[in-house]
Amino acid sequence: MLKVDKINVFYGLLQALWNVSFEVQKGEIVSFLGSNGAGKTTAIKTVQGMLRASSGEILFMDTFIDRLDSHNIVGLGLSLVAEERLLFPSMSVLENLELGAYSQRARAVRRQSLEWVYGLFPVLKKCSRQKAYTLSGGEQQMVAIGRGLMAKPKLLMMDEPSLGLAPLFVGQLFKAIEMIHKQGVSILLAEQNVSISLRISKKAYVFENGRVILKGRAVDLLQNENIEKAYLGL
Amino acid sequence: MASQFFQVVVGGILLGGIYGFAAFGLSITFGVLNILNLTHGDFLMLGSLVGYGIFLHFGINPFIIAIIIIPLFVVIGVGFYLLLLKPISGKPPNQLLVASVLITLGASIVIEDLTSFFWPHPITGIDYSLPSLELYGVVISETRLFILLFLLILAVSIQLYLQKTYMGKSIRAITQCRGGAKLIGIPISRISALTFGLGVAIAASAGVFYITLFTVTPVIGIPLTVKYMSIVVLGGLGSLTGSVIGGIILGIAESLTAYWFGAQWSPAVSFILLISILMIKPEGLLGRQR
Repeated sequence: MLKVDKINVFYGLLQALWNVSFEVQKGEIVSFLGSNGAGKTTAIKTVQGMLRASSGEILFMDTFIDRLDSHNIVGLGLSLVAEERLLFPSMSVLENLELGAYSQRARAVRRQSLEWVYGLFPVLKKCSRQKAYTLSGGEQQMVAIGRGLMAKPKLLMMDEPSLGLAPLFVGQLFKAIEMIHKQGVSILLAEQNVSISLRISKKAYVFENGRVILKGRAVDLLQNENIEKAYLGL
Repeated sequence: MASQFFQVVVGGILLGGIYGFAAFGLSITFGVLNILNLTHGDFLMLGSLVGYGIFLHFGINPFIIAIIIIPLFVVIGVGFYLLLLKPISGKPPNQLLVASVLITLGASIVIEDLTSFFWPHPITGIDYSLPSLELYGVVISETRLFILLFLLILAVSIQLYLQKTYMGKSIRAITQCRGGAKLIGIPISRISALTFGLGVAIAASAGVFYITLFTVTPVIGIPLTVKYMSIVVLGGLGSLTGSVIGGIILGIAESLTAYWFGAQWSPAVSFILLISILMIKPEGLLGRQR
């Protein structure tokens, strides 16, 4: 479904990714692990077209997307839920969600999508008239994920969805992620919360200093003690 | 005495309506594109002149001219954006602002000089007036009253457009969170071009009313732009209501200053208001803390 082949990404003169390759098959949950600044976010943003790879190829559903603009990539069925959430603060929850269905394809089915999102996160239905900036961190995260789902993605990428959430919320969040996955959406997850994300993932990639240093099946990585070292960046 | 005071205040409100409407055009351009368009006042001036030309040759009612001029100037604005501003749109925000000031300042000078070349004389306005109205001793120009009413309708339509349509929502989304807008697949450069066109068209439309009330010369552009910038800061960025309220406050303040201290002091008022609001509430009256 998504195949990234040896991409190199620079921030100005600074190289952030070195020959990074990874793959997500249809129906999989794939995790990116690694410490802060290891390159997970850069890799995800490059796939979404927010950053450009200077070399390498990105193939999504038989289309090369490494030279496409973000809005075309979203239209193909690839959504990103950013770490910063990037909601529209002075718009209501409902407006935030509706704008998520921006592409023609998603706009046509936005009523069903909205019901789907409300089913996953019933809280959002209750506060649908509230302005986004008035919500708690956990609720904002739900809006961000809901907005990503409104685009009808085939692959949903999530960057640190559990960051800054109360532990109780984290459990709910991962339940929701599993539900989204069961409904046929493939998921790419970049998480600091290693144990919980490995538990729901099929395979994982470990990033360090802009390179993929380890990859494998999640069950194998769970037993691997190097993973903790790699994750902590020691 | 009291009735004279009210007379001045009412005049200020009517003037402020035009100010606020024109300023909103500047406000959305700045909010969506992150650029400062110093040609805004020049497009108002061009709108006045084109409106004047249409009035002279076809004798169409200025209220209708103010509407038919909108699509024309949307096209001109989009062309201006694609030609001069799109090439710099990829720059980081701080460089973009400086680059846009330089480009639009240059364009403004070119527009002013070209216009002076073709229109050497100041144009004293469309001769269009309706009888005045007297209410509790306050004389209100009916022309101004209708203009205000008309602007109100236009402003409400624009507000509805921004609230209800996908295009309007995209404009607000980009103003509120550029990164988020890009993330969900809003085509930023297309919306930017259209927004610029809309901003220019609002200026031109306001210009048609401007010339029914004031004398227009080719060099009014920059002073007007500065005035509208003060209003945008006063009212808060990207808020139509804020711009209208800011415009009305400035309109009243200018009229009262002219009444009490003399007309030569009224241009200073916009700067005094600008500085005070920056000291007291930098995000503007209706702006949200960023």
